[in-house]
Amino acid sequence: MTDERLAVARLLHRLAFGPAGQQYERALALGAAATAGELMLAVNATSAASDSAATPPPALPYLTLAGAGSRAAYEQARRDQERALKLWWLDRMTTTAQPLLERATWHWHGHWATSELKVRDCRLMLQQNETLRSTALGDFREQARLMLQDPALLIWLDGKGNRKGQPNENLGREFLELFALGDGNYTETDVREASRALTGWNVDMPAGTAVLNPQRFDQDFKTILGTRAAYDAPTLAYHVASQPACATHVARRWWLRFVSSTPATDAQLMPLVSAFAAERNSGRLALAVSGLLQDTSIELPLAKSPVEWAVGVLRVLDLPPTALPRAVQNGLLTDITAMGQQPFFPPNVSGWPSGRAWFTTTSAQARLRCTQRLVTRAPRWLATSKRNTRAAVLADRLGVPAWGTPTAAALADGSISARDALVIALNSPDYLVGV
Amino acid sequence: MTVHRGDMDGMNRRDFLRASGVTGAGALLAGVNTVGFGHVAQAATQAPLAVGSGILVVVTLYGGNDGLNTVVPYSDPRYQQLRPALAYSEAEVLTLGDGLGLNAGMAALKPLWDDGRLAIVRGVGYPAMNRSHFTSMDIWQSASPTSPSTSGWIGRWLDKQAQPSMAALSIGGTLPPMLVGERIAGSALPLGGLAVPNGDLRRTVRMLGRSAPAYHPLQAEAATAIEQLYDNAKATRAALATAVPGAPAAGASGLAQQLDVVARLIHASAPTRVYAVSLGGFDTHADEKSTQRALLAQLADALAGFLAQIEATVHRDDVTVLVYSEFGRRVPANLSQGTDHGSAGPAFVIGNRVQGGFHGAQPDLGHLVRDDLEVTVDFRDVYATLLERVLGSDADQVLPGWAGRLPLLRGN
Repeated sequence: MTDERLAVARLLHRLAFGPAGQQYERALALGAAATAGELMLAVNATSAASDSAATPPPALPYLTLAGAGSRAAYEQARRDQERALKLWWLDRMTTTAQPLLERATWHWHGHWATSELKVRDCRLMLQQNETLRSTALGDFREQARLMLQDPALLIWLDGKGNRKGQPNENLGREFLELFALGDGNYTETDVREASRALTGWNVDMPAGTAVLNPQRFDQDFKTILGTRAAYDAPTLAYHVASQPACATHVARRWWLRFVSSTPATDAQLMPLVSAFAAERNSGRLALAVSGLLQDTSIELPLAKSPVEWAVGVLRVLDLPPTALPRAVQNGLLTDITAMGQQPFFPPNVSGWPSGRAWFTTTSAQARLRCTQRLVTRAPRWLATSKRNTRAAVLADRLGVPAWGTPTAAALADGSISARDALVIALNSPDYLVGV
Repeated sequence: MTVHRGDMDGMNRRDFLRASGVTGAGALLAGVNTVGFGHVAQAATQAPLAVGSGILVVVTLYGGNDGLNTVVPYSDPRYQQLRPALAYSEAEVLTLGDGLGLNAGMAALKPLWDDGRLAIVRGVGYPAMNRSHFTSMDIWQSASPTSPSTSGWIGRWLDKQAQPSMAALSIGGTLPPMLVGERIAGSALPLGGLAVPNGDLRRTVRMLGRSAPAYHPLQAEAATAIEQLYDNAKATRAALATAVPGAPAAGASGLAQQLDVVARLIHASAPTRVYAVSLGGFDTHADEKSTQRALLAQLADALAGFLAQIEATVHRDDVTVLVYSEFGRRVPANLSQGTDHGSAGPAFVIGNRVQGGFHGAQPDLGHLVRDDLEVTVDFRDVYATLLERVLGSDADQVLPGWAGRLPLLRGN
C-alpha cells in the first residue's frame, strides 16, 4: 500500500525544490503518479520561455584590470557580478516553471563542480550553467562533449594551455575519475592517453570561447580503455561516456543526490543504470528516479543541502530573492555560505558532500539565523489559521508527510507565536531530512 | 591562486568517508558523535590532562604538496635539468645540509631545524602510490594501502581508549576519516563562536534537539546538531576565553586560527591526545612556484606561532606535530609551470622531544619510476613510531603486524 503523502512529498522535494503555496495539497489530490508526470511534462519550450522572461540572467560584461582602472575597482566589479549571479540562480530555482530541469541543472553543477574561485569570470560560469541546463535532461555524451570544451572547466582543471609534449593531466584524470567512470575503472595509462587527447585547448578570454590550436594538439593515436584511435576532445567524450562503467557511475551520483544518502546496492541501482544505459539519456534517468521515489515500502533518507533547503524556505514564504531588500539578500548569501554551500563555488572538483555532513552545529546555527532573518512575520495563511490546526497547516505547506514527536511537541507549545512555529517547522529534522 | 581540488579542507573529507564506505561503518551510524566544547571544558576541569602525556597534532596538507620544492635537492644537477622553470637554486633556499634546502617560504621553521627540534622524513609514501587525491588521502588516513578500510588510524587508536570521547578532536566544522574508528568517532569542534535564538524560540527550538525512536539516523543527526549547538554555545566562551600568549592576530590564516584553538585547549589541559588540523590548496597543476611558496609560508608561520604559544604552557614538552600530504608531485614540470600528481614526499615531525635532522633516504633522481620519486620510507613507520612514542600505545592494535619504526623521538 502506497503512502501517498510520503510519495508525493518525495517527488516535490527531490525532483523539484519543495512545494510553494498549496502545491502539496494539489499534488496529493492528483496522486503521486500524475505529480511525477506533471514534473516531467513541465519541462518544455513554453516553460523555458517563461523562465527566460521572468528571471533573465544578469548582464555580465567582460571585466579587465585595464577597463576597471584599478585593482580595487576590478575586484569590486567581480564581486558584484558574483553576487548578481548567485542571486539570479537562487531566484530562478525559487520561481522556475520547470523545477525538474532546474533541479537537474543544480545536480550537474555539483557533478562537474567548477568554482568561480579559480575561474574568476562570471560570464564563463554563466555560460557553463546554460550548457548544463541545455543538456541537463538530455544526452550525457553530448554534455560531456560540450563540457570538455567549456571555457570555465578548461580554466578550472588546467585544460587551458594543455599541450602536446607535456600534457597536463588534471582535466583528463578528473574526467575519468569523477565525471565519467569512477575510480578503479581506468588505468594510469588511460589518464595519460586521455590527457593527450585533450591537448591543444586554450581560452580566448575577451571572446569567452574555447579555441583549439592544431599545432599544440597531439594528433597521434592514443590507446584509451582498450581502443586505439586518434582521439580528440569530442571523440574522447563519446568513447568514455559510452563505457558501461559510465552508466553505473552517473546512476550512482544521481542516487546519492535524488534518492538516498545510503549508498545503493547493485540491485537497487539497476533500474537507474538500465534506464540511463541505452541512450545515456538523463531524462530517462530522472523518470526512473521518479519511479523509485514512489515505492514507499523502502526507506530512502535524503538530507536537503543548504541551497535546496534555502530555496525550499523561499518557496514556502513566497519570497523570490531578487525581491528582498539588499541587506536581507546579503544575509541570505552569508547564511548559506556558513552552512557550507554557495552556488558557483563548490569546495573542490568532487563537488559538495551529502547527508550527515550538513548537520553540524555551525550549519544548525546558520539555518536558524537564516529563517529568523527571512520570516519577519507570519504569512497570512499561517496567521489566520487556528492555533490547534497550525501543525497540520504547516505540514501541508512545507510538504512534510507527518511531524515527528519532538517537532509536534514544539509546535504544540502554548507560548509560541505563529511566526516562531514556522521557524521551528523549517528547522525540524522532518523538513531537513525526507525518508 | 590555485584553489580547486587541493582545497579539500573540511567538506570534502566527507567524500573520503563516503568513498571508503566509512559512513556505513558502525561508528557513525551508531550515533557516536561529536562532543561539544561544553564536555571538553568540563572534562578539562574535572580530569585535566597530566603533564607528561604525549599530545599529537596532525597537520594534513590537502591537494598533494610538491615535496621536491619543499625540501629542495638544489645541488643535484638532475633536479635543475628535470624541472628547469620550477627549480630553485642554492641562493633561493634555506640550506639544511646534505645538499638539500628548505623552501624559502618556510623560514619560520628554520630556527627549529637549527635547534634540532624539526625532523624531516624523506621519501615517505607507500608501495605503488595511487594518484587519485581521494584514494591516496584515504590510504593515508586509513593507513591501509592494500585493502579498503572502514576506519581511520587514529579512529582505531580511539577504539582502544578507556575514555575515548574527547581523546581526538578535529578543529573545523567536519570530521576527517582519520578520526573515525570501528566503534568510536572522534569529535569536530567548529572555529568561531556559536549562538542560539533568543526569546521564546530559545526554549522551543531546543526541543528539536531531542531524538525520537521513529527518526531515521540521518534525522537523528539533524536533531543532534541542534542539541550540540546549545551545548557548545554555552561552553565555547568559557573553554576558549583564555588566550595563550602569542595568539595569532585577527585575519591570520585559517590554519593559524585552527592551531590557536588547539593551543588554548592544550593550555586548558583538555583531555585530548590527538588534534587534527588542515591546510588545503596544494594541488598546483599550474603556476606552482608562487602558490606553493605562499602556502608553505602560511604553514610555517602558523606552526612556528603555535609552537611558541605551546612553550608558554606546562605541556611544552608533550606536544609533537606531524605534517604530511597525500602525495608529492611529478618530477618534471608540465607546460603550465606546474606539476601533476606524483608519489613520495617529505613528512615533518616537530617538537621538543623530537630527534631533529633527516630521517630516511633522499629519493634518487637518477632512479625515477615513470617520472616519479621512489618511496624510501613507508608512512606506517612514522605512524607506528608516533603511536608508541608520543601516545604511549600499542601500535600493533592500529597497524597489525607492522614492524617498521624510526628514531624520531629522543630519550625513552
